[in-house]
Amino acid sequence: MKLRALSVLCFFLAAQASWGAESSPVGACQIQLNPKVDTYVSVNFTRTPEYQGAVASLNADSGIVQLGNNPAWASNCFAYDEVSQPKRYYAKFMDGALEGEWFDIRANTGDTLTLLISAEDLAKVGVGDNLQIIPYWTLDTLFPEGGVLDKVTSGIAYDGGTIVFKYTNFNDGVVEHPKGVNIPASKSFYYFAKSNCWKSGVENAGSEIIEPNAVLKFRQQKNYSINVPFVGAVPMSATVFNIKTETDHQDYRLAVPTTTKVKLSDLTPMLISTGIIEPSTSRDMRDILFLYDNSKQTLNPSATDWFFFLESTSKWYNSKQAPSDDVEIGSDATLMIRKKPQDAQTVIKGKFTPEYLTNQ
Amino acid sequence: MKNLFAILTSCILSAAAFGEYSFSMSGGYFYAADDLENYLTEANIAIIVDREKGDFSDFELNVGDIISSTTAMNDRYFVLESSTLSSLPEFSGTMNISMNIENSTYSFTGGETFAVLCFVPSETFTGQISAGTEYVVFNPQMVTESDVDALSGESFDWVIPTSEGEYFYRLITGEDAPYIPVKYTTLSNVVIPEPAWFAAAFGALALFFGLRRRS
Repeated sequence: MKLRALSVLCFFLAAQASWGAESSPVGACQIQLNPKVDTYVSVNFTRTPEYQGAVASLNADSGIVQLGNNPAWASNCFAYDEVSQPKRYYAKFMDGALEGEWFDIRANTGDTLTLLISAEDLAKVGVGDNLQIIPYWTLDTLFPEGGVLDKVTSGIAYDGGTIVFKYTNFNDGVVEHPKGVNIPASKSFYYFAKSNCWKSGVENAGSEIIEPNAVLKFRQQKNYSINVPFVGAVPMSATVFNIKTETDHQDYRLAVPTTTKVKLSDLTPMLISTGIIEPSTSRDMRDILFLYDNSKQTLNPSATDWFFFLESTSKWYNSKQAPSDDVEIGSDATLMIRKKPQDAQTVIKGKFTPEYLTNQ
Repeated sequence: MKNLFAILTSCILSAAAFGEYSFSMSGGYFYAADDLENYLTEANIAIIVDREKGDFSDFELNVGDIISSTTAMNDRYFVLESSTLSSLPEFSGTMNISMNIENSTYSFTGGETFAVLCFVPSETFTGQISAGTEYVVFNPQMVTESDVDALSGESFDWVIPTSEGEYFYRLITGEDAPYIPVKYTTLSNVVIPEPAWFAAAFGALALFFGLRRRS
């Protein structure tokens, strides 16, 4: 029997949250990092939401959303400040027209939130829409004190420690995909035992934001495996990805948008109906979806396979032209979209609703 | 101190092996020289690598050349992959080559140029080129200046990569940009017999007539 190098245990635990019935269940999984191997991970769990409530009113000009039931927050308790309030939050809509979308919180009063949101999006918010206030993951919260990952014990950066790579940039509330194709990781991190903190190069990195649905890659440098537990809240709403099209070929690394296994055809509404992936013709592979499922146990693995959606049959096919609608994608895999050049930069949104929500 | 850290960091990160990358070539169509109306549905396809990084303008197929996946044709040209046009109905007439490559396996240094070779043998192809084989070889550097505009937006760099990743190449003919004119994928070359073949043939004929006269 072929040994599956990456073992994942996923289970749900009963939720116990302080703010009532709309709580998110807690999920946990375990990722095995094997020696001299790169392992991709989708960060599709969130941190525990700290508030959930319904929109009572909104100010379309200022990005301010007022919540009902007088939550009586302290002023700017959700607003990021490097010194006084380093814990950073976002608001995620749980239903309504913006279900699944999240927005950085810039300020708050006792019952209002000021969001980093466009006027166009704010106009879609309806009174009664529910939102959650969730703190972002950071390296310090995802792996407190380095977690079970190998730490760098010498004085040399990256020396022997587990290296964590990140592919997107979080730029003051906005997620950016570095331009181009075959882009290496934009940042790399290690836990530095001598100063008990996460580092990127020589800079402290414990507060580095790991935005919702980020893609991480782990490089286990030592000659043994480690099992890394991930525990977080299971999203109880749709997940939305935003991509900004470019005028040249562009890669977008995306997490698998759910904490459960999906079929490739389950992603069709999110990827094809929205235009994130342009269907191909029989001889012109247009936009491509790459799957990284960690079955290639090596450093810098190439994609396990790639897929295109054929316009004439409305089906997915893989690199060998085999029908692939039923290909299963685990929640531990990651995805990459390669999009052909577009005439202009535009933002396209894709929404994925997991089966465990549609069956409720 | 910071600089030292940065140097060490970059050394350690760059020391991570340049491993496998995926290589994909897709597109179509190809045409016989005497029929530009109907694209070919049966033909052989190969990816040829030029170790001397040329533009394939002097590439020639000869009788006896071996076209077989991951096999050297000669000291200069290397057949990375040999395949056929798709036989699947929904992909009729298209090529689709997908493989994973480690440069060290084939002694590639990166930067070698490659081209698509499409050929129709005069008889069933056994891996060795025979006289009468019709073929065309294409590399983007062959595109003339007047046709360059038609290729805007597509990659001109058909070269062996030097870093890991997913590499996609397309060769699509069509009337409109960014596709390329069909003349570049028309099988306009024919493999002619070697001089030695003619000598042997004439020798055999002479022997035949000589024997007849004597009898």
